[in-house]
Amino acid sequence: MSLKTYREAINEALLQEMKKDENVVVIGEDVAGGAGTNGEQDAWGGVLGVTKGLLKHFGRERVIDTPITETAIMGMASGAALTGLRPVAELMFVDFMGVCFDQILNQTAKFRYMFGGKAVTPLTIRTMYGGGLRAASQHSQCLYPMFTHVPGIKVVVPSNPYDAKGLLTQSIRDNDPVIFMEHKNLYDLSGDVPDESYSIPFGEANFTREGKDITFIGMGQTVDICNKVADTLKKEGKTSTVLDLRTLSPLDEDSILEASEETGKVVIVDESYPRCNIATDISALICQNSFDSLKAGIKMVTPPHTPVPFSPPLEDLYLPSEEKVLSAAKEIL
Amino acid sequence: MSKDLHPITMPKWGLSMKEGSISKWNKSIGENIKKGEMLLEIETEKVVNEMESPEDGTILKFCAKEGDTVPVGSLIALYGESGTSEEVINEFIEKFNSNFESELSKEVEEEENNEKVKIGDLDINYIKNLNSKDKNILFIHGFGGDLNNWMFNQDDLSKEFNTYALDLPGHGLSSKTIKDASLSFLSEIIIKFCEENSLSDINLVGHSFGAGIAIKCASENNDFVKSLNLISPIGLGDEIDASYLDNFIISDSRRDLKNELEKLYFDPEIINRDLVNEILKFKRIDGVSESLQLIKNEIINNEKQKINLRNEVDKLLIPTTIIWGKQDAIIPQSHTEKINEKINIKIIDDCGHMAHTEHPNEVNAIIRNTISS
Repeated sequence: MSLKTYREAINEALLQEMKKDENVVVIGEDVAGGAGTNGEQDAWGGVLGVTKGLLKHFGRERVIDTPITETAIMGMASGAALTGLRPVAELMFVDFMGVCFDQILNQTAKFRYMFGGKAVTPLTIRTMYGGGLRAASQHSQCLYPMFTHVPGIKVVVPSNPYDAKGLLTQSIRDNDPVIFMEHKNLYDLSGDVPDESYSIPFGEANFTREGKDITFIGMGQTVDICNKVADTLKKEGKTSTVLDLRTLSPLDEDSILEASEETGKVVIVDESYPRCNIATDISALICQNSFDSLKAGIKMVTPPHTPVPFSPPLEDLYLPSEEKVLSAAKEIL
Repeated sequence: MSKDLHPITMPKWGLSMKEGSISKWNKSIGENIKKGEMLLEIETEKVVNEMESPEDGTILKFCAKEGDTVPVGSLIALYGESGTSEEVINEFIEKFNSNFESELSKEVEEEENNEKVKIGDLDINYIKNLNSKDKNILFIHGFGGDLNNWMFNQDDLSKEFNTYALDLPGHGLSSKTIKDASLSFLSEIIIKFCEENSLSDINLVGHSFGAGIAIKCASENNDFVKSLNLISPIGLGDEIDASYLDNFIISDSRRDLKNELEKLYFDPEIINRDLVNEILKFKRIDGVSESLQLIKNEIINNEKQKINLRNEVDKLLIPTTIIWGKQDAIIPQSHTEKINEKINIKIIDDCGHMAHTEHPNEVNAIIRNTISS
């Protein structure tokens, strides 16, 4: 057990799974980097350095740099997965999914179903998402609701280093296509992470706080916001339950209902666009299954229905924040 | 300080405990308290437990109310002789708090005191609490447990003894992959652990499977093991809830595991989500399931216990106490029947398989008695 960042936890999961299974390969734009230069062995390793160091252990045969074409990356990785490898493909920014979505939506996600269960596609797609880095409308979106909408792919949104390592290990070992979503703002977050390999099963949400007065449900980066608001409320004498969804598909419906019934007052915090997002989906789930346990209307804290602004003051205003979550909570407390 | 004025402070249950919340005071101001009475209920990140009155007296003041969360060691109440003046009480509180604040600032440097020792190719993780006392205690946990199982025992007993608690191979922070899970192999590990720590004599406290290891150590090294406290030991009969061990190994979700863990306790309310999560974190590490399976195969054959230690127990010449929860649902308390009469038997009521966590004060008193007899 030692303190590691989210970035290091992801890197360690890749390193350990690649050592354990020679069928695991990493594919993407600049995942190795530095080809033909003096510093090749010490190259950057992805745009934010997550895959740094893998090249020297496994060489270019298994850490594969590609041209800038997401369609080719996903097509190549899906085919490789279908024919025996266990690829981890990188979609640098989730915003670029538009270019390659046919490979994911119509090919990868359908293989197991259309081939009568005879084809398995052990593909992991790692991708960066989320706002806060002043990266403007085309590099700041969340978009996980769009993947969650499609049956046949699993969607993972780790909120902390421990979960990042365990869930990525599970993603790689899983025999179905998995979209593994890394929030850019979390890479430097540190926490206790075992040095040994371990895997966290999909479909199990995690309770990070337990309380009696109000329930917060978050995913990815918003879990941290929920925890902080819960701690603020505790000082004022109100205790909160906080649920971290961990995976959006499969979704841990039992824990969502358990968490909401515990207090009867629910605030859902989701950084994705507000129409047809995870907050609306969960809200419907709660209303349909445990309406009688609710003591107040469900609150959803999301951005407005606009592209992510580039202007820093506007972006700050746009994203869910502790202040917004706290004031939503106080409306129903 | 007045000799009839005594502090009650937030206890430290286990290494990771930094603060606790007061969930309920069972007494009010001016009320008399008796030693051993349940005084209040405290909630930590991991457990909810009751704290007993340390002595007889009268509650004079609460310094923390229900719902308050305070650091370990903080003053939470005062008791003593009724009629003590407000002035004396306030003076005491002021003095206590100024001392406590200076203590608190010192403790920041305190590192986690998990240590590791290499035995063969295995790393064995342990915690020691040494006060240069002349007697040593070593705690050995059971199947699927770890050294934190002794959180209510180790700190308390460290007042009079040097205490050691270790993680067995395959458990806690020790090496997870083991090749041999036999009692003789594991008792060898215990002996070597004592050698590494230069312990020439030891009082062993073992739980369940760990109690089996303790018996093996004592029967093969009579001169060096000075006493035994065996909590719900294996090896004294053939009944055991074999499905508990199987399900503990395969349960991979919080809900499934919680259902299993509830079998361990008389009062299942003791189990909260954090406790279940800690155990899941351990179980999810590569190699753990295989090691637990290996241990299970040592203990069980065809739903029955296959280890019989009655002969070994009959031949013991050292002070030995067997402690058993009356409502133990894993290994029945009836295994204490027809035990050699030299051996003390203590049955605890309203108690399951985990007497040391469910009734720690009672168990600690029994351990003290065994060692001093």
